[in-house]
Amino acid sequence: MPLAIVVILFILVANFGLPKIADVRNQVSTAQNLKTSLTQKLGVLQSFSQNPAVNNVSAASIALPSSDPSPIIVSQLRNATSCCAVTLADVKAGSSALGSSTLSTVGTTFQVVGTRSGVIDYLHYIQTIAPISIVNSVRISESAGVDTANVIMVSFWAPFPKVIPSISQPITNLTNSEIAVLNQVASLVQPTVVQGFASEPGVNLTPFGQ
Amino acid sequence: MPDNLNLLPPELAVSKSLAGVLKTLRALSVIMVVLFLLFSAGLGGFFVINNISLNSLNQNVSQLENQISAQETSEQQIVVLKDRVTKIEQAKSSPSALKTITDVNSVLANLSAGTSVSQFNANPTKADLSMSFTTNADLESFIQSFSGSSLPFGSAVLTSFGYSPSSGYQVGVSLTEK
Repeated sequence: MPLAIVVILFILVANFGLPKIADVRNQVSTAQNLKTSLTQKLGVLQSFSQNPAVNNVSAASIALPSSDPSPIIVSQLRNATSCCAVTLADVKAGSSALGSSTLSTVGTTFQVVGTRSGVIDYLHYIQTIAPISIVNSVRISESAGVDTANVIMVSFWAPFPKVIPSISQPITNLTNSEIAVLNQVASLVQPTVVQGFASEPGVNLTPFGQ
Repeated sequence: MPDNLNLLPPELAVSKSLAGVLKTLRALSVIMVVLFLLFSAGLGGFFVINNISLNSLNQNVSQLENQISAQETSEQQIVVLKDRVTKIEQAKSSPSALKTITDVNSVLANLSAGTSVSQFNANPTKADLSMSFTTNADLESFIQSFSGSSLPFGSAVLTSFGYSPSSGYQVGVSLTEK
């Protein structure tokens, strides 16, 4: 009889205790993983604040603004004429087109007049301005030694991300290739009129409602 | 020497074999009780230790979360930078007419003085040129400039050809990028 009672007690305690232990072990394991992940994340965040790339946040936001950059582009095109002894005429900014992958574009058409080499130097130069733009098509006509180029240029913009990852979500530091892109972006010719546009993202470094 | 007294009536006396079994069971019960107590204590101890460990981990996690919250600006900057870099790379990979212009310019740079380009249309994939050549030699020099294997063009198509004694040859060429 006492033996039977002991066996029953064994079974009861095992049935009640072992699942509790397993549950606590699971919680410990989850907490351990979370702690590891958070420690890694904190390390990344602390090292990022020492990273020189932090200085390029503004340049990156100007290179790819969060809103239609047409006014800045027009200003940049005008400023760029001094590089190559050309004149700029008939500048028209088109309407923005929302891209498929949140990358939007805006077309700008303009006319450049000058020598052949001046026009081509100008076309090269405007590829180095911020916001990032590419020459989409060019039609150059020559008359009496003066070239007139009708250019269609496309500039890019994209809204800032709307949500910040949850606190437990891991984060990775910038890779070397990402830093290289940021360094290239920082070397672009920066606009001189950014402060004149209230919505320009170059001044909003923490776009998450801070 | 102690006497072994048994006052029970002989009919209630337990047989020797049953007494042996009962003795074994009694010993087994004692062992089982001891084992049960050890098992229960072990289980309880393990539970308490794990609970302490869990509380300590939760405290650490909470501290880390506070420290991460204090670094929120850095986190936002990383998120923005990574987003911008991805999209900047996407934008920069868009085809540009500038390569076509550069390629055509490298061909035009070697032309003779009797050659002129009256019109030049370029997009990322091809360039259309309207050209004038004063002499046959100028035209021949232009055509020979396409014979090199290092040319960046996949094809060069003569789209129009005209001649007048006063202005020479009028040629339309369409060059397609490789």
